[in-house]
Amino acid sequence: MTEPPEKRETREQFGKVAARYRTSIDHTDPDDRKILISWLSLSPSHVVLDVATGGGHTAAAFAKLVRKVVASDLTPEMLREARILARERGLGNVGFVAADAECLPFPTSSFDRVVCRIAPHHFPDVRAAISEFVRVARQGGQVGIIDSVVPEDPALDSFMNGIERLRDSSHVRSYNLDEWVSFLKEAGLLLLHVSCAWKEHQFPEWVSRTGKPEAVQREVEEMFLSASPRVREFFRLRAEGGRVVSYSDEKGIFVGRKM
Amino acid sequence: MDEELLEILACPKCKGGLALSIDESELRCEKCRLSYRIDDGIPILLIDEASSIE
Repeated sequence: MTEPPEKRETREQFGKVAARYRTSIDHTDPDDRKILISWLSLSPSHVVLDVATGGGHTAAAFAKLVRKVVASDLTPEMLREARILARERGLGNVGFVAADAECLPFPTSSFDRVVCRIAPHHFPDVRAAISEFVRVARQGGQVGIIDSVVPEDPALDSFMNGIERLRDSSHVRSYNLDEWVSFLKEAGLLLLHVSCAWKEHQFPEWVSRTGKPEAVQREVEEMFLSASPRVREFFRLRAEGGRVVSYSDEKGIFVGRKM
Repeated sequence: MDEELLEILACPKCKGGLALSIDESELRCEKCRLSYRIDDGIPILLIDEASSIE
């Protein structure tokens, strides 16, 4: 089988910069995760799958609340970072496995909860991934997803997806809320919760995290600085002395039940 | 190896059970005739990285 180029880019990129995702401000910030946890009605007996765990922050947060967490990621280097984080926090109930979100290595109906935080925008086939999340959840179990969402306005959508692709070669697409709702319904989930939370990104750390050359980082900054007033206002751009300080985007938070 | 994890793992291709090799270096799917290596304690359950069982 030939690996799609997006998946190879994801593995190569995250292999090089894995440790940054264990320490990144954006990935340790717990606000959206707290909302997700509050809607998932967790029990201490639950077995939870965290797909595309990255630096392992979501897996570690759930491990304190449930019996067992299985953390999967396409990139083995990321899983080693996630394992360091779990060990640092004294968590002995997290298992690690390299797996493709679109082709999960678990039997049907294996997990009480399946979660995936800030990763679906990397998946070449997001519908296939969601279908796998639903397959491995047990009947009556829940699937919880957090990902960056874009506005329905096509100009704002293409601006943000363009910026993300330039900064991050493994970015496929951030979807809007309507697209998300239809993906989740098509996969057979009963939607229990849909909300959005604004998230501020400190620009210097955000733009350098993916390991792109400085010229590309500067190009991303120029795109923000030369954007229309409407784009700058929507994404709450803050600039000082001709440099971008921060911008904000929205994270969609989705919880559905497998019927 | 994490025994509870091993119990829940399946072949990503056929979703059937896997057998741990005696030296605990790989997980094998007899049905698909595929072997998945365990790298530094982490099972690599990616079809593209599996090797064929002779």
